[in-house]
Amino acid sequence: MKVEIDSFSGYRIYPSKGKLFVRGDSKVFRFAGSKNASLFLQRKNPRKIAWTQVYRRMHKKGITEEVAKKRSRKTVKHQRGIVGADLAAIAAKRNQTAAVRSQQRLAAITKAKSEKKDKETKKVKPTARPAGASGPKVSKQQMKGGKGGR
Amino acid sequence: MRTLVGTNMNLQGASLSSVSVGSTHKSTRPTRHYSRRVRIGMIGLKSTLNCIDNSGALVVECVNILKNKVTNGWGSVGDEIVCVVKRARPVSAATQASVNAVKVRRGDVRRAVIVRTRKNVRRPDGSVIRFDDNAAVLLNNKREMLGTRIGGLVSADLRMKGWGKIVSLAPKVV
Repeated sequence: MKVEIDSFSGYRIYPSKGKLFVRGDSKVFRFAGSKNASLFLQRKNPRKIAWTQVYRRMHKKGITEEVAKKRSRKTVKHQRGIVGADLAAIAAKRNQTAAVRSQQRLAAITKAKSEKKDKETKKVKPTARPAGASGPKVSKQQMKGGKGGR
Repeated sequence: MRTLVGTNMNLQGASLSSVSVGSTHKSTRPTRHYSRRVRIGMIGLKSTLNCIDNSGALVVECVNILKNKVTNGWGSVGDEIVCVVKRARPVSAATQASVNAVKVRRGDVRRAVIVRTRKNVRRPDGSVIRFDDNAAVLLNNKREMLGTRIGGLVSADLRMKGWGKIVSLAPKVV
């Protein structure tokens, strides 16, 4: 047995209760009792009748408070890698300890100094070694600073 | 839901059935033996019905309810009636020649079966159904339909009264 719902008030209609009204346009309306039927035939709007389910839902009476609370929007921040530096590299860099960083800095400074020295010695004897290997082949980027790398 | 709260044999001093759903003792009042005569239907003499098949009639007026021995009876869904065609669709000469559906004219006396009533009709499961108008489908003397199609919905009570053919032709049955 199917328990229907009232077309006017949203109440439940158990078997052998209520009336079924078929309108001229073949639309079926079920009423749980004469109260609902009468109000419907008087063409009352259930949205304005305070005890109907339609009204309660519209004015958010009763259960719908919980539903409204659940829907709190939260934007989640994601860590993303970029083209130059993927996520792992960024994480690695961030998690370096201060000691490691200072070491790297020192290393970079000494490296730069040595490279500069080499360059100067190269300049002093340009003719002596015309087209030879001009010091260790270093790229411009490396000279500028080894720390800022990939 | 009624539950049987023990049988009469279980009744002792301190009664167990404090929550008895139905009284287990017979009432002292005399029970009524007459059955209230239920007035279903309500199509009688001079009642107009819409004709919802394609026989050409639009409005028919009831003249007689065939199940009743007297003329002051009421007909309901599934009852056969004798009726007069009060309004009919105009019949052109071309359609007269076609063999399909017999086209009735105004003033014809025909039989019909009631398929919808504005008065409530009760079903065996206790439900009640009511339509917005009274409607009928024309028949010939042998209980066969005159038209070939039905436009609109019919009551499902027709099937119980033995008009399965009409129910099968109807586009919607409620």
